Parts: sequence; C-alpha cells; structure tokens
Amino acid sequence: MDLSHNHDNQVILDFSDKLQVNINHLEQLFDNCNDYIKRKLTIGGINKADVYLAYTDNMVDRTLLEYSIIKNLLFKMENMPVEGKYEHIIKYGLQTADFKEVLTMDDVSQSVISGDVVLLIDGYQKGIAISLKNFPGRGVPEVDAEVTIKGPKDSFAESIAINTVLIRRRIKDTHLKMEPLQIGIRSRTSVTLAYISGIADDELIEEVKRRFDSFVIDGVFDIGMLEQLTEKAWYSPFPQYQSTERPDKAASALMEGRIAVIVDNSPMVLLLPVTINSFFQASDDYYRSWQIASFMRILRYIGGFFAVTLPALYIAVCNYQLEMIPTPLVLSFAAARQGVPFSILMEVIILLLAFELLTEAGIRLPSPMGNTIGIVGGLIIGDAAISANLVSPLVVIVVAFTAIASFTIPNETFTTALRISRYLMIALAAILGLFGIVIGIMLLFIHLAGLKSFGIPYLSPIAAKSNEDGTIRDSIIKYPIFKMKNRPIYANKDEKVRFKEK
Amino acid sequence: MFSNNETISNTQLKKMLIFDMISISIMILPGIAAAGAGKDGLIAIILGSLLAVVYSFFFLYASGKIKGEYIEFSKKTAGKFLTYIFGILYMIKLLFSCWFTLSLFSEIINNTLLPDTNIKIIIFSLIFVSIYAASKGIEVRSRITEVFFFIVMIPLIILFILGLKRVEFTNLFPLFTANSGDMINTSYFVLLTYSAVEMLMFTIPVHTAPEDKEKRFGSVIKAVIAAAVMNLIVFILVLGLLGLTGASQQLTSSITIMQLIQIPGGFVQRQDAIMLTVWMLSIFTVLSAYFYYLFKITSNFIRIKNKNGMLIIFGILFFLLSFIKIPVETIFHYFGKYMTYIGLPQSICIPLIIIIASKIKSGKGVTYGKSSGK
Repeated sequence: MDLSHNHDNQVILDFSDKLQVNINHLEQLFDNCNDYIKRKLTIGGINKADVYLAYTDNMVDRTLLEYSIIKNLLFKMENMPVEGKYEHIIKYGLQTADFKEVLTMDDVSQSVISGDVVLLIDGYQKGIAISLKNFPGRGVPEVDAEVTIKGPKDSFAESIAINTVLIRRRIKDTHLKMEPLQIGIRSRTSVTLAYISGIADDELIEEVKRRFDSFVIDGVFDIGMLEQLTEKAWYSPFPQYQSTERPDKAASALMEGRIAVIVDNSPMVLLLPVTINSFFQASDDYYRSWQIASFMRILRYIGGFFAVTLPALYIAVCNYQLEMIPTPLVLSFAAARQGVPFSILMEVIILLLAFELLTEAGIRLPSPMGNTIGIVGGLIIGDAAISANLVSPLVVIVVAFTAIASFTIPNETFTTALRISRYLMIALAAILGLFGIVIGIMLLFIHLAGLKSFGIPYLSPIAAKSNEDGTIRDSIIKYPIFKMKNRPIYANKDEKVRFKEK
Repeated sequence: MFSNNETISNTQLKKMLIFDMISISIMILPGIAAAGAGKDGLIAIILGSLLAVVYSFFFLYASGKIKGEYIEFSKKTAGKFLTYIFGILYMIKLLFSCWFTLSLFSEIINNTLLPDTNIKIIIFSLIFVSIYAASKGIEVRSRITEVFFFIVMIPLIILFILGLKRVEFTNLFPLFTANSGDMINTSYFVLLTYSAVEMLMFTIPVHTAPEDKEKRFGSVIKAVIAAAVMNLIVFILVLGLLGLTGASQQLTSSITIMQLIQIPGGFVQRQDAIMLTVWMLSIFTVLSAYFYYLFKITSNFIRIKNKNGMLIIFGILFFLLSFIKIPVETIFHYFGKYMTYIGLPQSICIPLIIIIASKIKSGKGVTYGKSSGK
C-alpha cells in the first residue's frame, strides 16, 4: 500500500521546514529513478544555509542552471543574512524571472517531473521551482496533413510551450488567455485552454471546463483521448471537435470566438465548437480570392456527396434502374463486365476493402516503402485484377473517383466518418436501389441534424439559420473578407462585429 | 447560444408547412381537381386555396389563445373527459392520414422504382426512417426540412419551367363549364389537402418563440400561398400535357408528367426516377410529423417513460396494417369521406370548443407556464 500518495495519486508527504526530511521524502519518491539528479550545497559566507537542488536529467537547460543558478549560489552568497535567507537567495541567487513558490511536496515532485529545477532551503517550509525547461523536441515542423498552396507552412509540435507561442505570434492581444489545466492523475498532462476573453462566450468556456473536470483518468496522451472523453454524442462517428495542425487555423478560430485546446505532447490542437461547415473549409480559402475559394468549397461539397454516394449510385443504377442509362452506355457497361464472376455489389465491396487496406498499410509503412505500396497496390494489383477478370474497369474507376472525392475534404476525421457512411449507403442501395440511397441520406442527415457541438447545431448555418450568424457568409459560398462583418453565432453577443470600414 | 429548447423559427415553420402541404397534394390534387370539376379544377384550386388562407388565419388566431401545450390547455378548460374524446379524434385523424400517406407512397415507389421488391420492405423502410426522425424532436425535423428544402424545390421548379413550355393551353379551356355544386365540392376537397395547417395548434403554443409572433402570420400565409401556387402550376401541367381524360383517370397523374418531361440534352433517361427520388425526401418529413404528433398526443394521456418505445409501437401498428390488402384508391376513397365529414369539421370545432370553454371558465382564458415542449 502506497502511503505517500492519495487516491488521486497526489503526494501527501509532509513538506517540512527541515531540509533533511524533505530530502528523504524526495529520495523516497524518486527511488529507482536514475534520471533524478540532486545536489546538496552549503552556501553563504559567515551565515550559512543548506540548500538542495533537484531536477530531472535531460529536461533542463544545464548550461543555464550552472551559470545562472549554481554559480550564483556558490559565489554570490557571502552576504547572506541571519534572517531572510530565502529572500536573499531569490534576490541574489536566481538570475531568472521565471520561478514560483512551491508549498507542498506534491508541487515539488510535480515541478521536478515537469522539467523545473527545485531549490529547497533548510529552515523553510517552502521551496522555489525555477523554470529552466529544455525538452528534446523537433522544433517547429512543417505541415504534413493540411497542406496549402498559399499561406504559412508551420505546424504545431509536441511541445505545449511551442504551440502556445505559435498562437501568440499571430494574436498579439492581451485578451488572448492561455488557461492552464492538468488532466490525468498519473500523466498530469498539461492542457491549455486558449481563447480570447470577450470574444469567446463565457458559458462556452465554463462548459468546456466543466466537461474536462467531469472525469478522473490515469493518463491522457493526445487530443484524441480528450475528445473521446468529453464529447456528448460518443456513439456518433462524426467528430464534435475539429483538430488541426495549423497555427493559422487555430488563431483564426480564436478570432471567431472558438476555443482551442492544446495538449502537451500532441502535435494537433482541438477547436470547438464545430459545425459541418468547418470541415469543408481550408486555410487557403482565406488567402485567395472569394470566387476561387467559393468554387473550391462547392467542389468539396460535391466531393463529399460523391465520397458517400458514388459506389451506392453505381450499384443502384446498374441493379435497379438500368433504364436510366443511355443504351450505348449500357452496352459498354455490359461489355466491360463480361466474364466477371462476381455481382456488382461484390465487386464494389472487394475493391473498396482493398482500397481501405492499401490506405491503412500506406499509413503504417515506413516512408521508403510507402511509394512501393502505392505502385504495387494501385497499378500492379489493380491492373492484374482487371486482366484476370476479377473486377471490371468501371468499378475501378468508380472506386478511384470515390477515393479522390473523399480526399478533397480537408479534415481527415470527418472524411473517415463519411467513409463509414459509404458502406451503409452501399448496403441500402443493394437492397432498395435509389430509394435505398434516399433512406441512407435521410438517416445520415437525421443523425447530423440531431448532433450538437457544445450546444451549436452541427448543420448550422445551412440549417438552424440565424441572422446574427456570420458564418452564413462563410459556408458553401465564401463572401469577400470585407463582406464577412459578423462573427459566428457562438461568439460573445457583445463582440459580433469583426470588420468595419473607417 | 442555442440550447435544447425544441423551438423553431418562423422560417423553419414556413418550410415545414410547405412540405407538409405539397408533399401529398402535388401527387393527388390534379387528379382530384380534374375528376371533380373538370377544366374548372383550376378555379376550384384557387377557391380552395383562398379557403385555406382563411383556414390558416383561424388556426393562427386559435393557437394564439392557447397557453402552454394544446392538450394540457384543453384539459384545464374543456375538462378531461372531453379532452380524451378530442385526443381520440385527433389520433384517429393522424392514424388515417399516416396510413393513407404510407399506402400511397409505398405504392408509388413500388410501381416506379422497385417493381420487384416486396412492398412491405418499402413500407418498413418508410416507417423506420420516419420514426427515427420523429424520435429526434421537432428541432431536428425542422433542420432536415431546411437542408432539403431547396434540394427538393429546385428540381420541381425546373420541372415546372420545362413542362410549361410543352403545355397545350387549349386543354385548359373553356372555363366555367362545371356546375356550382361540383365546383364547391372540389374546392372543399382542395381545402382538405391543406389540412396540415391544423398542426399549428400543436406547434405554435410550445415550439415557437413569443418574439416571433408578429412575423409568424406572414410566414404561415406565405407558406399557404406558395403551396397554392405550386398546386396550380402542377394542375396546369397535368391538364395541359395529359388532357382532361388523362388527368382525371389516375389518382397520381403527376407521376405521369414526370415521365413525360425530359431535360433537354439530358444524359440520364428516366428522369422521373430522379425526380421521385428527390421528392421522397419531402415525404419523410410529412410521415415523421404524423408519428411525432401521434406520440405527442398519446403522451398527454399515458405516462410514457420511453418515447422511442411508443413510436415503435405506432410503427408496428402501421406495418401490421400493411398486411391488410386494400387498394390505395379504396383507402383514399374512405379517407376522403372521413376528412370531408369528420376530419375538417373537427379541426375547426375542437379548437372553437376549447377556446369558448376557456372564455367561459375564466373570462380571460386559462393561463399557466409555457411547457418545455419536450
């Protein structure tokens, strides 16, 4: 039985004013940890004091520690007074502005684990946590999944510090708040809620905090886990948050009154609330002319429609409503399918599953082999399957076009939900033809119409329109920037206007 | 900020009303009008639509007098016993309407899209989706209507434009040849097709915001006028393309004109299949409305813990009804009789009785807190 921690895994050992007691506690807590670095020093001239430094190896900037802290402690403490040693050490020993007091053994241990250097002083029931963090990381990477032609190319990284800086660089407003939270009783994952005070609705902020506070879990390692823990409609494959790796997208979302959730060790950020409209928007829509952006948006919506329904339409028309197709084309279809032993439904399912396998394999494979899979899977297997009369060329075209259509949607999570819906459409089309597709579309839209993201209807502003909602001018058709004067409906009522002419 | 308050806007109300009114009327009204008044079916539709405007005004006025849920208000004013009778009458009407709609559209789908499929599978699918939509509440139904409104209307308008070019206007004249009795009867029948307006009694008191009241009259009247215009155009198309004999022989002569009108340069051949497929989207909103109001009325008399359970029971009931092999023309005949002698009169008498009772009881109308509508 662990007597040093409570049920919430918080350290409950006493923080004594006797340094040796504290040292013993820390050594007990960090027993069997070879990355726990400690040093006891006696500092001062005539009046001496015992101090204790502790940190985690490879998490601190050792050069700064040695030159800014240890050097001062060893060589600048000659005038240490009898009383007020703590204040003297702060004033003359610490050559940094970033430090805080720690008052409990839990705070001390957390500071050490989090990359701070903790300084304990004999005779004081408090310590100093000095921020000298220097985690190993990959710096600011380039965007990988949300590539744009115009616009910045930097992306979020695993470090929460870097991610908050990337947002701060874009919004130099004192109203931009970065509220820290900690989630996970063992992982103690740092989470930051970023929002612009005055623009984000206070009720929304409180609701987010309430949801994050509504569970106890041992560890959270990525935004995906947080998403699953806090979304209300957990049964829905459709995301109720938007995840992005782009800092410009996050900054833009904050300007609209949304909230960004930044999780340490996660290279993506969650944006909320979200509507279906958000998943069809790309960053470079705002960096190019409104006509091109509108055209691309319409293309994406059409792509989304085909991504869900094209295979089902093919099955429905070929099996039930063949008379819809002109006779020469029917003959062409029949010729293409000659010798294929499988039904149209089986062909479509075989190829779709093969495509899903290829996609999944392509993600898991190391990059040098990824291209090989593309060639092997796409060209050789596809070509061989047609030559062997296992599938018809037409089905290959349908499946390929479906895949291309699904990749036009910028958000991968939403695309995956549409991929799942596609199989429902195929099943219904196989049973009920065009009517089955209508059934499928109805079921899909009824589900989407019932979804909400933090109280905001998923289908807004297409449905549930409001004259106050600025996103009406940023939905299927994108208006010019100077015409998009209002913020969305979920922004603070007093900050609806975002553009005015002088 | 939005919340789960089961409130719909005037725009949503207008669009839902349009769908509720024209989904069925566009299919059957031309046949009814042509069979009843011949070429003067045009006049009958105009007269019937004018009556529908007055009818709507009545419900707008009556719903404004209701405080809280309609049935609960009735219990407090007209008494529980009388309200039970009213509830049963409303339920019979909704059951009959739903049964007719299901029969009509399952047969249309069976004949045009799925001739080799067992009709019971079609009926089951219609019921399943409608129950799912009804279970989500009025807000979800209204959002679906908003999403599909233009998707349904745009092909219809294209159909109108292409069809009007081919209309033989000589088929529409001469007018004023039918006797006045036939004209009045047919106008009354036309009015029956606007009976969806009656549901305003259930919708307005609890599902609309009080601040929208001023513009609500305009929204409802615009919906009725829009439905009237569409009915008129479809009648002109049916009569103009099929002639009087062709129009009056079938209950669903509108389907025939969908098959006749071709999009110029069109690649797809059976455009009626596409038209009908798109039209089906509006049918589900009507059917889900029937299930929704059936549940609402039932829940006022029986304490229901599980809303979905009640909806499933209604679904099973309708599915079992589909095993009774009655031709849709027969159902339509009896449904028409029911609506003529009971359905429409009750729709006016019941609210009148409740309002008069409320005035007698308190002099000012019984008031109590607005229900959440859930």
